[in-house]
Amino acid sequence: MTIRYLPRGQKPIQALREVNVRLHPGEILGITGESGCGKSTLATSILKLLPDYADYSAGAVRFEGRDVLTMDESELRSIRGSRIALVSQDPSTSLNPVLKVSTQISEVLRAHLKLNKQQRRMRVLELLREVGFDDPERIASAYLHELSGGQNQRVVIAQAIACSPALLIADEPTSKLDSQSQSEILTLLSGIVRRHGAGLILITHDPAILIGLANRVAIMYAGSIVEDGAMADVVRNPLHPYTQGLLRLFMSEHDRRGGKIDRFPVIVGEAPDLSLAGRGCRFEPRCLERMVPCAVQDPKESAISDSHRVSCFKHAN
Amino acid sequence: MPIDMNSPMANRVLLRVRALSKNYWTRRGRFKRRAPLAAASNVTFEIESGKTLAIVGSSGSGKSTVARCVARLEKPDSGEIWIDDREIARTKGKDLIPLRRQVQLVFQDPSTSMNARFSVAKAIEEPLLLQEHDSREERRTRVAELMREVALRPEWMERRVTEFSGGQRQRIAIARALALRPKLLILDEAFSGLDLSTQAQIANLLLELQASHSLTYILISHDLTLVSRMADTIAVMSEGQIVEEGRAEEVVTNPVHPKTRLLVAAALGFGRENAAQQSS
Amino acid sequence: MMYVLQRFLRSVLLLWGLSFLCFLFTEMAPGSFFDEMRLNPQISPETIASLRTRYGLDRPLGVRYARWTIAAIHGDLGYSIAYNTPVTPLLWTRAKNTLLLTVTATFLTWLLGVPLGLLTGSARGKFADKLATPTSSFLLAVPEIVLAVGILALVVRWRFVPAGGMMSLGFEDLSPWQKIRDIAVHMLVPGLILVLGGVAVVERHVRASVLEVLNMPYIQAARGLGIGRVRLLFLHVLPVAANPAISLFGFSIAALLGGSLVVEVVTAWPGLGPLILEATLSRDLYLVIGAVLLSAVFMIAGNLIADLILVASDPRIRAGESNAA
Repeated sequence: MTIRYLPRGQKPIQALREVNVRLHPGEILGITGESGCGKSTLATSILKLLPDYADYSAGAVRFEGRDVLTMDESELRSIRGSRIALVSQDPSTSLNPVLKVSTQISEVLRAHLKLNKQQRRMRVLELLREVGFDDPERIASAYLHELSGGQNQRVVIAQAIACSPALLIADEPTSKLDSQSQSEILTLLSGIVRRHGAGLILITHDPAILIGLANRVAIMYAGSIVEDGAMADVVRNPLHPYTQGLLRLFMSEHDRRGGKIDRFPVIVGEAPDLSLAGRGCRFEPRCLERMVPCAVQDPKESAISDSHRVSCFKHAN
Repeated sequence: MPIDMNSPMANRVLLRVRALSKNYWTRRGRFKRRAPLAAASNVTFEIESGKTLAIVGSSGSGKSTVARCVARLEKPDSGEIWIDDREIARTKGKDLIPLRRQVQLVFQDPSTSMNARFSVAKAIEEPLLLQEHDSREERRTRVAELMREVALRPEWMERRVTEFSGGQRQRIAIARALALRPKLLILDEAFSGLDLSTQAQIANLLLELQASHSLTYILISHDLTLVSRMADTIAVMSEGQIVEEGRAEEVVTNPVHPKTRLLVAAALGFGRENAAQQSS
Repeated sequence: MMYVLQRFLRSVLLLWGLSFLCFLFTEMAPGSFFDEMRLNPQISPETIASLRTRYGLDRPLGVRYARWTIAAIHGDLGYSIAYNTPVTPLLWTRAKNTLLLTVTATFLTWLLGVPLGLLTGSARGKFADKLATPTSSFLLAVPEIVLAVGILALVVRWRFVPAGGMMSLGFEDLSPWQKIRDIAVHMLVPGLILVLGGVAVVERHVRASVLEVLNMPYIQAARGLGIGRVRLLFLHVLPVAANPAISLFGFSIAALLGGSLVVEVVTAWPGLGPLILEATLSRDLYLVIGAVLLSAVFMIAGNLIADLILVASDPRIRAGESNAA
């Protein structure tokens, strides 16, 4: 899939470039990368929720036999929230501040299922229990500002699973929460995947979350996927220089032995300006192992094994 | 025996906090009186000059309150705060001005901790305007100097803050904090909201600055991940009190208090979602 | 409930304070009703003096105020010197006329303005918006009196509706249905002036509010969960976007008595407006105070109603109030 943004009066931005993603039921795919790498664009494009100035130049999102990008508004509405559901980053702004929790969950049910008021009420309480609330009645009649960040995020998840979707997309679901709430939400999500057999795409800028949780991981940089594969493979044998840099940094931060460090092993430079078009690997300016073709040609994807692919001239076969 | 005037600065205690307490008043219900919410109670700790203390805890644990009291953005209800040999918990009004030179803060979100519409120069020179009586020339020179220190090009001085990325804005915030040559820098969740690489770059910058300027740091965070490798000592807070304190390596490798265990499990090692099970 | 009582009490206090200020200011204004008379050589100073005593104008301020307050509580607002009749019934008749006009106009304004604002807010840039926005800009920019005179000029030229007054000659002889028609027809011009200006304001407010809320992440999230456009607008956007409109509604109520003065004077509608104008110019003390006080009641009531509606409809404000109370 390739997506460009064409905001009026500004330069066009190449948000995604030839991105290929595959997900199986019951699988957890982690997508990680830094801000501007396109992960949020990827998340919203799966539901065709991008702004008007987005240009779906090429590509497709194939789900349950159909291409989402070619669907019209009513078809999309039947999928959103019922077959595919999106959980966004900031729980304090993902919920309506003047509607009760029960109303907001009920609205999702109303949009997709034929239940009467009584049944909806029961289902709302059921869902609140499933996401971990011991006192669903109290939560059901609460408002956004009466609940904590972690609690609000659980309500958002309750909305997302209300119609038992086949695919859940969680876009930075824990970055605005403190570490305790983070753990709770992640446990909740993995539990849901297990129980419902849904597929989960977990998007985050913090790779720590994915370890132990994701089956597969995809590393994004500047709109492309530079490496992807089974979690264990990528962690044990990182191939792309960017992945290697990230892992080096990660290891130094999460070192159990602790102690004050002199210097963190950073990747020099900053993320590139996506409005600059052109060929060549986007990571090249910051790459310590750059070679001649890197600046002029787009690297192609090479399969190192069944479960490990990388887009880098170092590993081109 | 005569006092050795050459004894290293590192052994001198810069900040001493004793039995610091601060309550916030809230109203419970419509008819009840105000009930105090103890944000910080009986907090005691010390930091040596040139060292880093990390205060960690979940939201509501009181860590930000302690920071605000030390920086005297709030007046503590009781307790003592000593900076060098001056007690500042009771100081009021104009007497606080010299204190401001010594203690500076860097906040979490650089977009809201500064006026984002200002030019970089204006943002950084603000403290200079309030404290010193330099000419515009002198101020601009100092701003250029500070920008170089935080690895920003001085030519960008007149650009607006909004034109910079998150990491660069945080550098601007740090430059502003350094303008008055403080001894103590308090960083309240200064890394949240930044990318992994950017966080590490800022962390490296802070480590360099600490070495070159003999700065003392208090790092406030809800997450041990980055700060545990930057700190000499760690203090864990929960519900307004310090529940565990010690040398960084000690606290991380042998956490005692359950709260500490939780934080260590969540941050270090792998598998965040198993943190709750791991800590038991 | 506490909140309601508190606000109500505060309103009463405000009203009382206002009445005193009003009294004071009218006292301080130069001249009195009898100045005109004094210039007339045919009226002897003794007559004037006795008139003054009769109207109690020779007593000190404090005494007068006290007597007035006691009477006011009983509904007696004093005596109009110019019209030679008690103030209360005079005010009441005129106020009824004003309210007839303004209540109808306000009702229509909101009936038209809110849906228009919703439409232009949700369909930004599309045809409806492109048409409505410049129109409301124009109407907002034009001062009320210019609008009034403009419309009046048109009407006078083409004479298809009456240009002034409230009733035609021979009103008493008409059947009830004809009476209603007659008044309605007379209401067209002043009503139109009020509605045109009002709709522009309401539409602008609602539009701005809707636009702001539509960009909120929770609306995008609701869209992502498959909630339809129409339901989204009315059940998700409107409750949040309503707050500025509710405040504006409070203003509308507040202005029910006082906001139509210009229109009434220009179109000769026999309402409170022309009465206040005349009374002020002729220093008709008790009439002025009575009229101002009546307007003030509406102002205070309007704000109170808006506040109460806000507390009732927005849970965030409810929480804020119970914390602050």
